[in-house]
Amino acid sequence: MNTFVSLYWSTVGRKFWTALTGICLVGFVIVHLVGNLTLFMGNQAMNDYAYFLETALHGGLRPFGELALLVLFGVHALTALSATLQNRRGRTQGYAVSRPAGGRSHQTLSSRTMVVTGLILLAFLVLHVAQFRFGVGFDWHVTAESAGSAHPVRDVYRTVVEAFHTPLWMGIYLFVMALLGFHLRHGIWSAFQTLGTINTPLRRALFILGAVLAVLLALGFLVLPVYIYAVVDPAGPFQSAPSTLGGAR
Amino acid sequence: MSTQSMSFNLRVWRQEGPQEPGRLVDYKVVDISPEMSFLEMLDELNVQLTRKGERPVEFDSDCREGICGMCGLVITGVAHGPLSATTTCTLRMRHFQDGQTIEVEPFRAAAFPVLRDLVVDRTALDRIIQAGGFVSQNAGSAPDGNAIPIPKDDAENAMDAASCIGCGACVAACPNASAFLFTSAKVSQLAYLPQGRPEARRRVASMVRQMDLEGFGNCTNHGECEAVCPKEVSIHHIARMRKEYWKAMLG
Ligand code: HEM
Ligand code: SF4
Ligand code: FES
Repeated sequence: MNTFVSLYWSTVGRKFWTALTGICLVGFVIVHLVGNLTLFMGNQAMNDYAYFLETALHGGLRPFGELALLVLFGVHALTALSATLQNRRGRTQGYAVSRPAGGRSHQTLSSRTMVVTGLILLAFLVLHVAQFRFGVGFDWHVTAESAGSAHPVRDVYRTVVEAFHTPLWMGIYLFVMALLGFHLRHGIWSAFQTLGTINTPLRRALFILGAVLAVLLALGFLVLPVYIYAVVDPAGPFQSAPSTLGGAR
Repeated sequence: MSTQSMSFNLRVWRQEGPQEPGRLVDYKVVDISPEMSFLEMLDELNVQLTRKGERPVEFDSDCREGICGMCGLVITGVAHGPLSATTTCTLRMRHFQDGQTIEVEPFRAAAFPVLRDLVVDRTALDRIIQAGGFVSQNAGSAPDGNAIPIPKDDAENAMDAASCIGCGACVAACPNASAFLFTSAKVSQLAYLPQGRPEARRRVASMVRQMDLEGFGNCTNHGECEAVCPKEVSIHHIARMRKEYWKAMLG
């Protein structure tokens, strides 16, 4: 009998969840990047964006979004890790000599290191959320204009600027964003193949497009810390003018 | 026949039995004609070993013309050797350099236990096929030749999948020891055709379940299988199998 569990947790069924959550995470990463780019428009724009995220849908967007992300990351990591452990058991005695065959293979350094880059991303995620969501290790500034109001708004812009003037944090972010690109170099096309891209020309195109998107995403995330470190003055000025959004509050 | 002769330094996996530890043993073979197949070269080695009173190297073969799927060795780190779209039995020694060191190992996977030397037990693949079960046929008088129209592309895809000879090289080459390419070929050869539709969902689910029970790994889309497959079975069949499987999951 093929039971519900045997279908959904088989080698084929489980990978479906890895791919589906992986694709959703790629979507999230794109939105996240676009949001971050508000930083180039200055402190006002970025803090307004942060304020929007906190208050949208009567404050409902953020808890819902955070729960969704928790589930996405959780399911992705859990299915991927359990598959990796199973793969270890698939070959107990290794080869003395083993070479990639080349030719039609899609094997890359990226495809062989998915679990390594994935685990580093997971560790980074804990650090990242602690720093920028909960403000661990940073003074918790509020924007000048909201300081006295009943609903103080975090000065996210200032937190980010301070973080990226610390060489250690800068270095860690640069490193991990490069690894994200590496994870996605295999991840993007692989997810399409998992979800059932049948057509061979389409598959080959996705193999290339996936790599291009991975590089673009990594570059996008790399540009921000570098820009802040090199261009933005660590001493401010930080938000003083009233925000349009803030004004409506 | 070419008068040229070649010699090679072989490093061959020797192992007494499934529970015994094995190791690579060095042998030198001389007077090898470039036209010999890899297996004929091993035959020469065995003549030499027999003359010395040593136990010959055991390896599998049957048709020796690339159609049965019995042969299969990992040669210089690549399943079926360095030439693409070639079985071990149809690989010629002219594709190696004179004097080259050649490592010869069995196909390795937890589901393919080594029986002796280079011979592994691949009956796990047979059990996957068995798990597929039957295909319903209309009994009665023979149907008209073209009574069931099948688009040409579908027919060709089904034929491509059916060209799998079950050698297991895809498993051997896969970094995860996954049997997805083999299983997908066996699913796809029917999935493209109207025959067998009634059992399609049960078939794919059962074959995948058997594949998992045998201890093969997950496919993470390295695509190494397609590169070594002597019949160039495409990983698009893996995508096809997954689509069949989603239907089984949802239905
Ligand atoms: C939480 C930390 C993460 C871990 C532990 C992790 C781990 C993995 C592993 C082990 C795989 C399977 C490897 C393979 O298919 O070759 C995988 C696939 C994938 N990952 Fe991640 N990953 C993580 C985060 C991410 C993030 C942040 C994204 C997107 C931005 C992502 C996108 C993908 C995609 C698209 C795939 C391909 C799925 C498939 O092949 O079907 N992963 N991940
Ligand atoms: S798919 Fe190719 S490599 Fe795998 S068993 Fe069939 S013929 Fe051999
Ligand atoms: S011996 Fe039959 S395929 Fe090689």
